Amino acid sequence: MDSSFEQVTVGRDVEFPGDAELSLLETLDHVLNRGLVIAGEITISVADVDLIFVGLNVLVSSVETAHEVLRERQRPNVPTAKRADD
Amino acid sequence: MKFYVYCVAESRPSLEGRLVGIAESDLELLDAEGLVAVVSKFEGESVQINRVNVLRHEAVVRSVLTETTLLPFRFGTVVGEANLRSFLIARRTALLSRLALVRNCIEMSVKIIWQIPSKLTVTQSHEPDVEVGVGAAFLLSKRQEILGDETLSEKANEIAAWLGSRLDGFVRQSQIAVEPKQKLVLAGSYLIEQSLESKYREQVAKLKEERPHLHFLTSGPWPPYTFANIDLEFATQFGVS
Amino acid sequence: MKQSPENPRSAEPEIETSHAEEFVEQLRCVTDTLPSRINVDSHSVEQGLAKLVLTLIEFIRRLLEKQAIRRMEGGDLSPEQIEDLGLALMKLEAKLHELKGQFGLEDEDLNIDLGPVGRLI
Repeated sequence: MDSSFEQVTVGRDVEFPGDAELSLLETLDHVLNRGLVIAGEITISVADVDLIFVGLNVLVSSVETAHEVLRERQRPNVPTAKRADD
Repeated sequence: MKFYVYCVAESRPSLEGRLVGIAESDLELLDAEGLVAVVSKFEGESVQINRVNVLRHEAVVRSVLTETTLLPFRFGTVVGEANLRSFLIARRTALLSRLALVRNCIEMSVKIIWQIPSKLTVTQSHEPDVEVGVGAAFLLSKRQEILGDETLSEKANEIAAWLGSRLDGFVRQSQIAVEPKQKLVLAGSYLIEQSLESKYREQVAKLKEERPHLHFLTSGPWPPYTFANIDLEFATQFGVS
Repeated sequence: MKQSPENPRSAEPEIETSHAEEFVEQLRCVTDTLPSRINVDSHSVEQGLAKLVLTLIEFIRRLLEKQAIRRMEGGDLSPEQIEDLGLALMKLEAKLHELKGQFGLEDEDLNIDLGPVGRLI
């Protein structure tokens, strides 16, 4: 049976020179871990979960949306998905 | 119709010449009983976390902040209009009170990396005078481990307390996360009145000099992301967990 | 972008550090722990459930360990009881390790971030 993916890719940028990457990471730490949330609204990757638990590798959500988060234990040389409009 | 939400403001910002939002959608305002949500239409299933979108989100929030007090939304909130309205109406009191908290403030961030103190030796107070079985030995070694962890925690919390007491006069509210077992031992967010920003910065500069063995990363000013979430309780005193 | 240059609040956040590389390394954990893909095939659901369950067991196991040690220190256990308790906990740890292996999980996979409470491990 084919598994259908709902693709949500984290754009892992090509290695930027230190400062730009640091700046993005620090920004990410602010906009991704904090801020107002509306419980129950679909956000970037999981439904019904507060994204402050960003270290949570697994989540089984409510019955209606059986989205599941699987942490990819990829080896470093597996290419990440490219976005066409990056 | 789904909206991507950037922030909730206490008054309508002008959208003249404003940035476009995520997915090149125009920014719009949505009023609900005096609160104003800054949104843009969104059609996808979910929002990709990538450089462009993240920076766009932050840029929109920052630009609205030049005009009014706001509570930033977390990146990636996509919601139907009805749900957004009912959220704003249902949580109005909490939102207003939080807006009052962050009014005229900016958020500053301090992160500290330490070299984790090497294996702390703990003297064993239970010197066995009889042979210790396998099970007991197991417990004893776990005990060592836990005692070591506790010392580490103490040291980490001391850093948090030091920061806290030294920044006390400048900070309206703070949220500190301490992780004794991590290299990134402390991440602090501080809500600072704008008028105190330069004094705060001076103080932080002093703190960096006082403990050169600690590696600091300071950033800001940020919109008040850390202080926006009305559903989270957090310590206003230093030394969490 | 409309932005008044005099208004300090429109300024982009400055980031200041003498140790950029270290912080990059540490902050990457933020993106590393994010899911890179969501899928709903049955294997993943199983895997996901396994992680959840094992995480909970691991949490409880640690609590039990701490409690056992407290009782040991409190002196209300006989040497035999200490030995039995230790052995039981040792076996539990080993079993959990075995289960982790079966599902291809590392310690880090169970090291969930409990937000303000800190990490599990």
